[in-house]
Amino acid sequence: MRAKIATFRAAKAGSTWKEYEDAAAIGPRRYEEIPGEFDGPWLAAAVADGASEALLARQWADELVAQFTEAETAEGLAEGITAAAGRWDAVEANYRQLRDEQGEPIAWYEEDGLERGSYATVVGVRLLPATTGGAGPLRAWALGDACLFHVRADSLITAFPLDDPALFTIGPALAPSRPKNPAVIAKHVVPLSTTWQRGDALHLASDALACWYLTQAAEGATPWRTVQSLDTDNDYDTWVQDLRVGKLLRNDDTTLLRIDIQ
Amino acid sequence: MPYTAEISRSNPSCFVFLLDQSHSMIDTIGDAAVQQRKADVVADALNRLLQELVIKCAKEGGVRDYFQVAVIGYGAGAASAFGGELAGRDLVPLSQVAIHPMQIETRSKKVPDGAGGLIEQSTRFPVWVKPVAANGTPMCQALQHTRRLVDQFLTEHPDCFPPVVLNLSDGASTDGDPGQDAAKLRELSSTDGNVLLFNLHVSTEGSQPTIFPGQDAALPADDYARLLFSMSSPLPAHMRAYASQQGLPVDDSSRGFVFNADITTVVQFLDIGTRASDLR
Repeated sequence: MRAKIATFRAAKAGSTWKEYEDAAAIGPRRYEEIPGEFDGPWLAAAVADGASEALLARQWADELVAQFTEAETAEGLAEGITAAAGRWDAVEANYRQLRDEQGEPIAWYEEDGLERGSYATVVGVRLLPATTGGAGPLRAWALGDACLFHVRADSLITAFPLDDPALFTIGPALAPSRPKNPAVIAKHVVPLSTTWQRGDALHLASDALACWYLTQAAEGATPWRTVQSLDTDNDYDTWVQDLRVGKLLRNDDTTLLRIDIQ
Repeated sequence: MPYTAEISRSNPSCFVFLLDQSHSMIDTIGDAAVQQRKADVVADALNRLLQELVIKCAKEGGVRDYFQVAVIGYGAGAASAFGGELAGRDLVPLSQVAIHPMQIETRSKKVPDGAGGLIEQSTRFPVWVKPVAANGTPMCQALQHTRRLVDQFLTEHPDCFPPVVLNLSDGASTDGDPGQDAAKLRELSSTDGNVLLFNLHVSTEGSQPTIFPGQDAALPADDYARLLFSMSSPLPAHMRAYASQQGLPVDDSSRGFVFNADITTVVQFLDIGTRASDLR
């Protein structure tokens, strides 16, 4: 399977890159020897969006997408979240050690958030090996409002897990790094099973962009064409800023992972 | 649409807490098993609110200044009730509130033990204000002082999410009818809506605790409760939606009034981004 990959990121206006809390990844990385050119038997991709009110949200988003994209093909998202959560104590310990080394001990108001753990939404997709010429199974999972858009022959054939811009809230379901009841995670993960074809495009987006995408689609526009036309980071940045100024895009970290299956 | 402005470091909002420190706050409330002075109840409630607000805005290495905060005590006049490093200051950036509690106490709380029971656990309890119960209840003066503070804030932040004023009191004003001063305060507005005035009423009247009642709700048989209810702003739609999600019985006429109950929900009404919440 060959695919062109492009990842675009824009930090929330007024925030720094250090404060950017989305994450995006594809895998297995060994099949992307040339950046942006994927050539392997199967492909995994994920976008995660760390919750604003959580600590270490970026680190948790990174852990989630790394786990999903480097795991074996049989692993679903719920198992991936549980596996990543199993490493969280080590992530927190590393952070505490770093703060100690920097001479900046953890403050009282950080302890509560660190004890509670971190949270993120996540959407992941696996393109499994082709079963017929140029087509194969596509499996996706989502927890929360990061979305996957599947485009074929200039039409949006799937919007997942949300298909209505009115469904975005400030309280989406979130993957916890310290799950109180791990069994509950699987109940909230939404699965999708369909097929990919050569020529399809997949757009994975964090919530602000996904909401814009669905709003445009609901109004009869073709947001996938706009997304497909983006070329450089500069294009993306300018485009995002313009949408924010026009109040068409909520001011939030804004991430797009685009996959063109060839 | 009102009450939708982004709360950010470049466009912060403000919180003003009014704390009744009058002599009548020496009376005790609660059942036979647990009696607390009203002054202790409101001081604890205020310290808990500040703690929740700080934690809500905390990120690695610091607290983001999404809010400026004032605590106005009223008893012997109306003035800043902050203690310690913040003593005498009115509106303070939240990051400064976070690093300057007077002290951090260790208290115990009961938490589920995972087997259907409860166990005691120690918890950090930062303290910014100490309980006080002396002098009269110049609520009108406190509201006038608040109006000046909020007016100044709105001049500097005309597009902010509207300031929230939370009055913690037993309602027995001694310098006149506070209704008019409350109305003048609520009339102030940013481009995003009018100032929100909420009231926590602590009372020796033994009625059922009440949270965000509407016009048809049975209010406690207490003149002060009716007064504070009438002074309270209607809850904006997104706050009603959040309260409803939390299982609180709100309707279109619900107001920001709480009687002898926990009011920390108010902090969660403020939207600074995706909330951290567990799956159920």
